[in-house]
Amino acid sequence: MERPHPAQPVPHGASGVPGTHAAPSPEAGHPGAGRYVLVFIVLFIITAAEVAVTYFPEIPQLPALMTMAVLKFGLIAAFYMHLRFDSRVFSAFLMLGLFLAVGMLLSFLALFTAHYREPYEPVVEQTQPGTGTPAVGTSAVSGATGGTTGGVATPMAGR
Amino acid sequence: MAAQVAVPVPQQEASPLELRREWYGWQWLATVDHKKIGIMYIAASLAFFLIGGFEALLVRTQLISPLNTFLHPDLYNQVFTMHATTMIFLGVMPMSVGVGNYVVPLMIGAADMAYPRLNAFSFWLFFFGGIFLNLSFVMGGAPNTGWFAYAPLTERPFNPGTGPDFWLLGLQLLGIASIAGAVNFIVTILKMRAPGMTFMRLPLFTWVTLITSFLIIFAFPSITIALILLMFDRLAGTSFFLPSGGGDPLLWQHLFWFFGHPEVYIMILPAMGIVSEVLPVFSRKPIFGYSFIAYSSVAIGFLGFTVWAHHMFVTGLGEIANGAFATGSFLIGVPTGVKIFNWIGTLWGGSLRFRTPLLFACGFIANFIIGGISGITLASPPVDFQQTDTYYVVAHIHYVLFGGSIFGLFAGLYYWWPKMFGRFLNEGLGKAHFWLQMVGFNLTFFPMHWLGTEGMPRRIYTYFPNQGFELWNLVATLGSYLLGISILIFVVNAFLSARRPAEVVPDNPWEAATLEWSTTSPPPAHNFDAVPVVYSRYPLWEDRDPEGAHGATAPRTNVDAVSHPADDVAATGEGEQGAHQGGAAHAFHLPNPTIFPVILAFGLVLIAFALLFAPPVLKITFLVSGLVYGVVSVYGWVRQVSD
Amino acid sequence: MAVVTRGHGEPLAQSPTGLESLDVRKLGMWAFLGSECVFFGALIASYFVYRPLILAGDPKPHEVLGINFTALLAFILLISSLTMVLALNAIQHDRRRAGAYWLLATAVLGTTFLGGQAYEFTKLAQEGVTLSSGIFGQCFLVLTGFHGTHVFLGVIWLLACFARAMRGGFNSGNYIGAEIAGLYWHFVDIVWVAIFTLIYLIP
Repeated sequence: MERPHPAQPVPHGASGVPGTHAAPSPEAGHPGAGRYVLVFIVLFIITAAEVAVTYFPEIPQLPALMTMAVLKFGLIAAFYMHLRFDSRVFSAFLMLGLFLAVGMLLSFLALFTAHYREPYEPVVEQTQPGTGTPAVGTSAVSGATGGTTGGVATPMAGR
Repeated sequence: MAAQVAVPVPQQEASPLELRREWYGWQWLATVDHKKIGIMYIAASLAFFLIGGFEALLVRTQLISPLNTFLHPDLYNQVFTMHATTMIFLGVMPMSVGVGNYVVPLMIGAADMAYPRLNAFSFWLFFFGGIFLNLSFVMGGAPNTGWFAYAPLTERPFNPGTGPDFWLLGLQLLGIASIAGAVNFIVTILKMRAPGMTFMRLPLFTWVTLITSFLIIFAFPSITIALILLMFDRLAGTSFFLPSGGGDPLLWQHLFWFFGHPEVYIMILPAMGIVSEVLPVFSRKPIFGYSFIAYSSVAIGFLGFTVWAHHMFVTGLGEIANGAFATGSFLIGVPTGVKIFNWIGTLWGGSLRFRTPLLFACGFIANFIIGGISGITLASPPVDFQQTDTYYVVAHIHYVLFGGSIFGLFAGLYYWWPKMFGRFLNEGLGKAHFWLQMVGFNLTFFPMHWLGTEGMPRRIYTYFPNQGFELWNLVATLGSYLLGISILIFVVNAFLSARRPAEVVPDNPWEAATLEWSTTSPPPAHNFDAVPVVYSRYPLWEDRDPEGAHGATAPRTNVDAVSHPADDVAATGEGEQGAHQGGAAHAFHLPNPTIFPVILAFGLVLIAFALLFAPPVLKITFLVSGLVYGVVSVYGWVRQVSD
Repeated sequence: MAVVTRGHGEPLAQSPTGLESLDVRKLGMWAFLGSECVFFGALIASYFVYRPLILAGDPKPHEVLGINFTALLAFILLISSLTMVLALNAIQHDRRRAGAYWLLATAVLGTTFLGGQAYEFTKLAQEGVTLSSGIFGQCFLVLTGFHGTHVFLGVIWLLACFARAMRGGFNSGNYIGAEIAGLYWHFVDIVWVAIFTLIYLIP
């Protein structure tokens, strides 16, 4: 995924001159104002449809809403952010970020819901330090309050 | 043409180590030169590395004997937390960034980074952030929760001091610096390569820097969010990670390790890249399996995002999740093993010169194999259940981060030192450094495998006499003193090299193959007199012996200068491009030195202090002044850019 | 993979994606936006981890969040995206004054959005939803608050662009500054598309 298009042969970089090159002609990649307004109208309609869908519970909400959101997302990215006309390198950055973000969201959802975990016991404020579990927490918690001698006793208390 | 590039330009610049002339402070404070920034990165990270090493020695001294009372337990917690935080965020990472900063633009034939001012900003923010973190020792207590700061131990009810606040705000600053630096590297490597420098001709160190930068921009947001949520918990009364308010401490672990696991590759990949540069040079043969090394680095980077929960097997993720994450973790062993075989294949049959860089590179391979194998064992959930939070894990992390990253970085420092400063490091002292460090390192950390297997928990500040831990703790502590001495030898070596009278270091003292060796040592401010054109993966080697004739002791370079557009047209048939490049080479002007990046970084640190302080007067003073610094510097910066 | 030549290959060739023609600043902006994706991904993931608790808690999101009002905010952001591309379009065609005013319109719409969000937060506070009121309040306010922070920074950036455009700082040969501000602005809009669906609409 970090592969920055190695398959594309020869980008001799631009010789180290940030400002001088590029500036492609404006008409080259970007559609006209009419197209932008058209896209906006479509976006407007989709948004209205999204709100409308929530008034009809018989429509399966999740798939309908997600489809429309992805559609809006794609339209804005493709036309307003010019990804449709611009280099695929830019799209690659967005797709990589999206891929990781969506992957993170889905895997967190799975990790937090698929496997039953006991609920946390109610925590009493400021538990007596040093009597907790003997692993990670012990030394750090005990250290917070324990004096020298008290601290020495800590490992035993955990045991 | 080669000769043209090699001709040393009459230059006014003194060696960067000569800090006596006039007032150098401004030149360093306001510099936007990637070479100076790289050197500042390396110097600052070495200083933090010494601090972190001193903290490590304190920890080891406390553990030298059972029931030792050398350190107060609370101080012990602060010291081991700051040791890890310092080494990871202020030592290894910025040292890789510093070496990359210095070397990558030279390697790809560029005059500077893509955003020189942003580069300066990244450095100063890292530097101030590091000082901010270390100030915690004298401002109410350092962080004391371990470097991964598990909630809810970091929450206010359990940790009312300012330590965790320092930790989370400091890391937030360092995260901003890292992301800015990574964006800079990505754009530099994608955009600023010399003509002909294709991806398959990129030096491997540049490859891994690119991959590391991708890891940084995609992994750091996760810890940014974790730190933000923790900050709200501690400062605004939310309870994201506090079970009493409905929060879930496990979320912290997921967010943290989603960042934390790519982070370990962020630290090891640059060292792997350095080793991949050093080995061919000192074996006098091309790297074995170039594309395998490049693509396996990509594979490691990608897989690195899929295995974070192997740090959390004992949290009870369930068998399916454990199995999945274990599988991914085992898989990472494959590309890593591929690389190790490639390195060994590079050495195999080579005409080896055992100079200090090669010694460190070999030390890297040896230690990293051990660390890799203990990593494979830890990837297995049943083993991990037994070994987690024991000294076995401490042994593992040090074998990969010290035995791996630090050895690799020292290989890089010895290797590029003559390029950076125009002087060699002393070879005898370098060898002494290597052998002492190698012996000391293994003496310190190998026994920890046994200690961990015997059940000694990590982060415990003392132990009892009859537990069977005495002997190996003693050995480890003695080994750590050896390590300390070895690092001191390096420091002495560095100072001696600065004090010695200037020597004339040739452009390419190691007979290396990559572009940075085609310019003077140290390079002029603009790096190359003309933009080099690259025809192969080893621009300084390929033409070494074109007709099969001998006598190529001083290798001819195969670097064309594009100052001759006509030649270029003939060679490439792309007249327009060549002419454009040639024109651009001379049109390039380095940005003027500017102080605004420093001010902006300083303003951000002031805002961090504002969040830290409780008294309203201090809070408002710092917030307002931080914002003023920020606004003024951004305004000035933008004006400079648009002018 | 014609370039995997180890010998003396051709040094220069045209690449299909044209990396060499990309603008440096735009590339950096996209790298940053890729990073921002994960930033908001992690924030939204945190919300969703707590979603079962949020839905079980009191007050429930759909009781206090007005979909219609938020839809209005979403429309405002969408319109601001339109004015942003129109601004860029005008600048690229050297209609500088029009470009400047479209930029100003975008900033004003962004400010309107912020005002709407401030109103929403105040209303929520009156109904007892604050940062420390419980799991819903903290998750919702931090998530939308950070989006709002991005909008705020965007507004400042747009105003700076407006000032520059009024001085004639943009033209058909020099519009990248406006374009990357636009990229950031559209990204903020895209994030709102995601938040609007995931937080407000999904039952």
